[in-house]
Amino acid sequence: MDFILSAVTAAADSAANVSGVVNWARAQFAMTIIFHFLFVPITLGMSVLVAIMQTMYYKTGKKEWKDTTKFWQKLLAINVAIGIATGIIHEFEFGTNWSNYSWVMGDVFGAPLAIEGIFAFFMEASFGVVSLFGWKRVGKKFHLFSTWMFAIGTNLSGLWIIVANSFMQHPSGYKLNIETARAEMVDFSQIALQPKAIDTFLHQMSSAYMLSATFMIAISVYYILRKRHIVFAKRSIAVGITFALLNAYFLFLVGDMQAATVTNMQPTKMAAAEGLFKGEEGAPIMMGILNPSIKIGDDKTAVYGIPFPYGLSLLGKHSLNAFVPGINDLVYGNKKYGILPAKELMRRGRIAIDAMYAYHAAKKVKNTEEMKKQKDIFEKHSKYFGYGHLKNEKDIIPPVSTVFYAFHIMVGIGSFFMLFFLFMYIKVRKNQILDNKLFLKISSITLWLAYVGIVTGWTMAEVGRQPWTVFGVLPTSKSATPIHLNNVKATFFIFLVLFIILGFAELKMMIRQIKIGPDNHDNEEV
Amino acid sequence: MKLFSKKQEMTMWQKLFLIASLKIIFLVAVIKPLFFPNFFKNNFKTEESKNNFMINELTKNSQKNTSKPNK
Repeated sequence: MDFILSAVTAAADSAANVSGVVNWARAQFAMTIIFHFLFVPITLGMSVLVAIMQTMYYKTGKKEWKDTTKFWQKLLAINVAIGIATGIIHEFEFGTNWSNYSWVMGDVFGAPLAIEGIFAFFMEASFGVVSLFGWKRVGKKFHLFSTWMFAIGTNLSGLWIIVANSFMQHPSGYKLNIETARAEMVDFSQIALQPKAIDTFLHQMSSAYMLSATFMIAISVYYILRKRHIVFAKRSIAVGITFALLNAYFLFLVGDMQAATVTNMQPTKMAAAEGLFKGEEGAPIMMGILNPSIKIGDDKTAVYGIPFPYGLSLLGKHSLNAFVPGINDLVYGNKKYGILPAKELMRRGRIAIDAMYAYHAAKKVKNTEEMKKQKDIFEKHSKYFGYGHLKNEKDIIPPVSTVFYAFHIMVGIGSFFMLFFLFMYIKVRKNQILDNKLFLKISSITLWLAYVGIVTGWTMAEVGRQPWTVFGVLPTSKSATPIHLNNVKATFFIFLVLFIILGFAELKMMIRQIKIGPDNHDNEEV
Repeated sequence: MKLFSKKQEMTMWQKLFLIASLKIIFLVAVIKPLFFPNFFKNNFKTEESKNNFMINELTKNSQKNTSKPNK
């Protein structure tokens, strides 16, 4: 096996390297999840849009709505078929690259993933097939029902993935067992219904709907600029812009909710996202550039730009004068606001780790009294368990510049969408959508902006979670499998090649169907 | 000479079905067994040995420090 792997990997290292394995495993997961996520938002959003359009057809009986529904459904089907199974890769990665994480957290993390699988299989697959191929085979009512069930199924699948991810961001409803060193579920409702999961789900769904709306707008603009299918394109662009506008403002509301949960549950992430080094009451939001020379502990200007006074306190704490902790407060502590220094968290974490070790040492010699004593110590300190693995107090802070710029790009794109789609909606209402070609061209670019926004949003969420896989409990460095570096590198490049091929296949088929247009269904009745 | 007449060309649905099927077969039958062995399943036979490995991983620092007993 090593021979095969070495042959595939051009830049193979001669020896395994722990930090190298972690970084390559992270890079591989990032690449595979970003590729998977090119398809997911379109599936989530287009399934709802197609269901809305089919409902219009069901209500009005107009052929134009049927043609419109079928056209967008066809593009949705291409997206689903190319994207299908790209999520399975992550299951492989959990078992091979991240087996330590899977072993420790699998019993909790696996439950929502299993539910997702059931929804995906039974609801999405079953009703999706009826929706696609049932136009002439089932009754109109059942057909519409199936389209809605497919849309609901895909969105519920998304919910359970978000629930699993939210457990990693803010672990709750579990207990770490000293005997097995595994997390055990204590209260499923605390995992499924925690505010972090609900906020993230709403934020994710509305951003997926936004991206789907821009997908619809971009293709409609293509027809308008080429003076083809004008009536169809005008109808689609009106639906797309209305949907985009509603989601732009809903995103703002749920983004505000999510900022508050992040500030309270993951203060290190919010401090990095805002480039806030020194915490303050009435903290401002800074729109600008991060000082490239600033380091943890510095007392100099962190961000050059325009301040929005009280903005961060209002956003994160919903109070103008509330204190928002900065990076320095979180690393070195702040007595006034009861923030423990990272060194103290690490000390407590080491007590928990030592207790686990001593418990098992006592178990070997069957010293039950010592086992009980160590178990009590462990349970008292287990919530700091992860901190005990960190080597340096500064390690609790994620990469600041990546999180800062990812967050600001996402917020910038979201703010632009709020203004732009309001303007475009007014144009639609006044029936002036075809008047200005420049704005139409900008509309078509919004698809790529939406992709950038969604990827930077997730970059902020996931890089901002570092150094943890499960916040405060399990560091990323302890989650990766001690396997040979070449294995991870080889699979990284295999997936890269596979994704390039699949990406081209998707683009080619999409472009072909877009060129055919809505009037001609390629003589293929669905 | 054309290999396929127009009627014999694959429809979009057939192409999609073929792509999805080939991809799933490639991932599950080639990639998974060749490059993604389950680390715990392959290296340890019993639950206890898996637990011991993980406990060892998580308490490495305590072992290095010869674990001063907690008070």
